[in-house]
Amino acid sequence: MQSLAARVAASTAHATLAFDLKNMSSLSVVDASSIRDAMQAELIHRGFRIASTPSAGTEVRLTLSGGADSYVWVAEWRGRDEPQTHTAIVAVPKASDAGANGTKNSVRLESKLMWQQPDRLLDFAVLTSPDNSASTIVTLGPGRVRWYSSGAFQSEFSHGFDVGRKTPWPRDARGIIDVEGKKVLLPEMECQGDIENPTQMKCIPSKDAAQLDGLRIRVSGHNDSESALLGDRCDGRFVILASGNGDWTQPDTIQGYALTDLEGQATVSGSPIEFDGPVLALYREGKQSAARAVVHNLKTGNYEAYIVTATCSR
Amino acid sequence: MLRRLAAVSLALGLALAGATRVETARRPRYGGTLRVEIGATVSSLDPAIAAANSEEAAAKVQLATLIYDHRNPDKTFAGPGAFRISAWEPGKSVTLAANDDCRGGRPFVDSIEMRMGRSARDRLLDLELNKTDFAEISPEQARRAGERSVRISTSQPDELLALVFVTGRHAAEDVRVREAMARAIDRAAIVNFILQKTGDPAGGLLPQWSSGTAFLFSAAPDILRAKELSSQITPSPRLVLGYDFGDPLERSVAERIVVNAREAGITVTSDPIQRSAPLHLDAVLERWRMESQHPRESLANFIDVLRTESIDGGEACEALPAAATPEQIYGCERGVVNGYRVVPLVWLPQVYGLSARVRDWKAPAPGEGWPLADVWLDGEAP
Repeated sequence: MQSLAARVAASTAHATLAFDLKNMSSLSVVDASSIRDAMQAELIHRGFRIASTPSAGTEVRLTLSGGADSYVWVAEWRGRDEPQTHTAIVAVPKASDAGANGTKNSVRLESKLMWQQPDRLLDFAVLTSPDNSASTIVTLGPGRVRWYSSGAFQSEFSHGFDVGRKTPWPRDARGIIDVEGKKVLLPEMECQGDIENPTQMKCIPSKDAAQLDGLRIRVSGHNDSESALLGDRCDGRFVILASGNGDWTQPDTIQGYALTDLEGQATVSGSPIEFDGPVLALYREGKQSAARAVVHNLKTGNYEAYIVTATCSR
Repeated sequence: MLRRLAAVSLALGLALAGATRVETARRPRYGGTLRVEIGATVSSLDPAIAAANSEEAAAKVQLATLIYDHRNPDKTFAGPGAFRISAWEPGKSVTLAANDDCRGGRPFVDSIEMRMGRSARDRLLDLELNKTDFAEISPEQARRAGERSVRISTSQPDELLALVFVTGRHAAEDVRVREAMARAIDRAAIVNFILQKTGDPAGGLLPQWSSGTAFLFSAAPDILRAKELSSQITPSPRLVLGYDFGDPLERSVAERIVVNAREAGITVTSDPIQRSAPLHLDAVLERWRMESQHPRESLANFIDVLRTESIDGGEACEALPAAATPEQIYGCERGVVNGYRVVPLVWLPQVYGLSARVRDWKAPAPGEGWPLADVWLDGEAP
């Protein structure tokens, strides 16, 4: 923003600008409006007066666009007597826009992107030090367990091991990191030991496939979806999170459901949150009212790890 | 803890499976034979044997992405892939069997039966009659296929159809001739009438979804300026435009360009190219397929094509750094486009027809092969 305003200021002789903003990107109207305000403030800060009429000295247009790699903001400006339009372009990184919403007496969902990687991700865990001063992300891929220490600006690989298997991992492999149970589950393999102490983990063959397949909770109409029963209740009712029904080529959602008793019918509660790709796995996160979601972002190709938190909106 | 939760969830599963259950297959299933039809006739899979045409070359790459694990930086393929060849009849058919030892996991389908040399008309007919599961469809046929209830999958527009002026040809050496041609062509008409709205008019060398700056390039015709430019040139410009003999889309576009040029006072005759481009051509229609979704990589690849074909125009991009900013990429594009050696016409998507039982198909991004190892088949075999 500052660099665009500086470029405009450097080559504009007129003190009055007519400013216009066009949003061609996926940014919301609210975000675009905020950017308009910020850009105008930058220009005013540099001594310009913003006029509403196009007869002003210099016309400036800021276009919010987007490419494959980033948002692209383009400033075009031309003085009243100038034959040529000036152009300045900046790239703005795309942030996760998985948002939050909710209504009264309903399950309100929020998602937080914890990790992303180009390689397949089956599950992840977030380990926090007792004083909450540092955290570690553990990622589980087909045959790969990795530990990354979170720094102030980026995460650094700290440890990892591969899980051997006689045959290749299935294309639709599932896996779970069970921090409390001190084990990592993969198809026909199980690694046991303290997740926080990776050097002592040992992997052995396992025949108990039900540990991976039996964890699914089915919601009527979502029998093949990913789902998780959360620990806390909302208004005395159980809370279940479930993904949508689309296949793995489509954007997906996570929807909250409320259930009065385990024999009853689950009903939709609150608004869903949207993701740019299918939810491949959804597991309850510890004892909290939260779940771990693994999403394959179809726009970036990355596998993303989210903590989805459900709060009871009253 | 996990076992306890599993027990609860199983109980819930029984309790919640109510009367309104909607059965949806979301998780993949293994098995079945995927029937594929392509237009190309691949006579050899040996990389050392050159393909007879661009269609065969593209099909060879697609087959290689299925039977090899990865592509090296030098563009050679290596390692055992998702499938292995179980039957091969050069130029007619190939059968691929799932590789159980594939590094990325065994493919979901047991095998792929691919028939080659199928005409666009036959492929479309076989899709309608459920005689094939997967086939390429020409962009200009996409709308008609959809109207005939064929299930369509369309990629982002990733193939540029461009008019390229041959360096050294006297008739096109005057930049005013080239600019007049660029301004005379009605790209929207090509998209609306020839492509039946499957595609986008192109003003730059990269599509909007990739660069984010394509809107800065005008794709609108300016016939008045085109006439003004051509009127400055004596004698009146006369050009010969070549196009691929076997490509009905290029033929239609070439005919349209002839009409547009005539309106601007330029005489263009179109000439189909059967093998190598004859020496008398002043300009040719070319299709450039993006090899990456990233704008810098794709643009660099297009500039390499210009160099390989000894076409001037890429000089503006010589200093394009590896980590080029959007402004540097735009500057490179602008330099090429303003030289009018390359006149972008339209962006074409890749269009695929699918049978109803094909699941988890995702149109590949530029540079990716057909992800047939990830496809699975839902329901009974036909």
